Amino acid sequence: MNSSGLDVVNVVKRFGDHAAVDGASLSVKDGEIVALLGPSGCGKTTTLRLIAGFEALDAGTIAIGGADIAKLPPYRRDIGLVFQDYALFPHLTVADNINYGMKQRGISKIKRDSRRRELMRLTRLEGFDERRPLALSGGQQQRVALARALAISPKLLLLDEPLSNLDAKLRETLRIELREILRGVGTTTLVVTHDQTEAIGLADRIALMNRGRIVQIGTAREIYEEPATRFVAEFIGRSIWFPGHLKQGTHGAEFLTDDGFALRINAPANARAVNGLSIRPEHVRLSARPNDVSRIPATVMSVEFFGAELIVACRLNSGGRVIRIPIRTDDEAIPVAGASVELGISPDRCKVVADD
Amino acid sequence: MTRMPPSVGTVVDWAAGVMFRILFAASVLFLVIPIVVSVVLSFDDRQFLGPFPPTQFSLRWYRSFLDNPAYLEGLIVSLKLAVLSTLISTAAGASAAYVLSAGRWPGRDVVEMLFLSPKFVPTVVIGFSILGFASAIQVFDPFTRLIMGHVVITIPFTVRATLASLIGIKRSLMEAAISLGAPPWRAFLDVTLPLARTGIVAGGLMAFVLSFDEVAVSLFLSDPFTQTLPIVLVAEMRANLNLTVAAVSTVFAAVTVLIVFFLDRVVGLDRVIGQGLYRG
Repeated sequence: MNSSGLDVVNVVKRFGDHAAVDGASLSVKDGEIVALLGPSGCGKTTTLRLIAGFEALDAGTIAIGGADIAKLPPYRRDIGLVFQDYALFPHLTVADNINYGMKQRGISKIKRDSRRRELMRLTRLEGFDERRPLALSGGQQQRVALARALAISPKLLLLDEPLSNLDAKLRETLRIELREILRGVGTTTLVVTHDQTEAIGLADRIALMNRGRIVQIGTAREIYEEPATRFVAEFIGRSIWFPGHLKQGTHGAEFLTDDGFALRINAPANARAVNGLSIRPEHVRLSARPNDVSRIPATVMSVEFFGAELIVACRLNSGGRVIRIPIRTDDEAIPVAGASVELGISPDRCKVVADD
Repeated sequence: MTRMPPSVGTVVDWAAGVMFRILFAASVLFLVIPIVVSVVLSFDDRQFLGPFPPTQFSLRWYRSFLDNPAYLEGLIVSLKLAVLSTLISTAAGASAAYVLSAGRWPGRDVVEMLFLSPKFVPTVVIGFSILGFASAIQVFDPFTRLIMGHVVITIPFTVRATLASLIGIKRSLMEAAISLGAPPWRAFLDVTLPLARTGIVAGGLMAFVLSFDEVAVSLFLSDPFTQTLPIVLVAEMRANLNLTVAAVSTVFAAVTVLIVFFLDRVVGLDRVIGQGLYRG
């Protein structure tokens, strides 16, 4: 068991007939940063509120460091929470905001002041002690909220959409900055977000949530390369989806798409109901190599210029579906509209999954 | 060049401007001038109600006011009553508003309506109902009865004003305090109360003024030995109409204006900060 890791097991929360969280399980190891990623309405915010204690569980357990916290009121959970709107106390100074949690715990003024100074240095807020929160920029407000949550030396830090309230231009810089601060502190952290860039940029691992359940947990790379379901494949990065079914061919496993292509696959057909194949567009080669076993004849429809890459729209000769394939601008052979091509697909790039 | 016909917007602006001037003139005519007249008359030296303006001035009516213990007693009763019922109404109204703003539950709108309903019920009806209710529950002390009545008629104002200020306070602020280790009551005292102070004080101010010059409800609930200043005023006016009434009215108006002015400075200053608080 983790020393202060988070374990969420089979958690259920219903609002009326609707199960907002429907048997979600995930764990965050001690000191790890995990992003809870999913589309809006998938139940991630409810999960965060269940962990923080603002909603009561209908079923399941939530434990920090092995101790069940589900029965504790939110003010006894020792969880630092950074709200989406930061929720800084507008009538208190920055220093009093950061002090608030320590005061509730009866920490002496000397210890409070030294801890606050340490956190303000860490979050680069030195000199802002007497400012009011609303006299600060969005990024500074976020750091005050972070310092305030960290001041109580929480066992777990929860961040709710930490970058969504910030200017798009600033987001990139602040994401890197936030990651450095979180790394420096080493607190077990769960980041709730709907933005995959935010999740990939901040977290060690990503828990992908859909319809109240966690559909896959892993590093960004694992999830990208081995999506568990069609939802995962399409939520993270781009995906071309071929509905169809598995078939044991003469040379090994094959996937027959509904529009009539037989694609060789590597992955052994497991027991799960597989009814589709996902492939990343960048893994489709515009001109098949001699040793490519899976080839799809197609016709180039158009070539669009996007700076670093070109998007080639191809119509598949059988079935007539149009797929869009990115190629690099400096690639030798840039096709022209109307050209016939043979798309090459490597078996190891084909991921057969269930359509959820 | 032909002149452009005036646009609809211009016409509306013009009409609004005229309406404003008419309303302003009317309020000066019917609100301010009578008060000025009564203030001037209170310094009239004449023994009778002579034509305006007075020819000689003196403080005789103020002397007569101080010589008549009924007025002073009435003033003391009114002040005690206004202070006590304001305190009760503010505490109860603010608490009710807090519960009403805390969330949605079945019957919430009905309860809110109940708290605001005394505003729509004629005060005569309220006065009579409370008199009946007080005797039914064996309360015969007139001051207690008066408190009951004044709390009922002022509570819609304290509830309303507090509700308005609570709406501006984000729920996440309370939750932030709680997540930092404050039990809900503590979070309420540290966060919600300071942020709602403007509305609570404003409601209390309205309650005070309303209680201080209430006539109809007090008429039912007072007895000959416990009378509020407005009741004494009405009784004296009926019994022997002289300009003591003008002097009392002037004192009465001055006390109200002073209290409003004093509290508005407190609340007004707070509001300047308050707007800064809720922005963004």
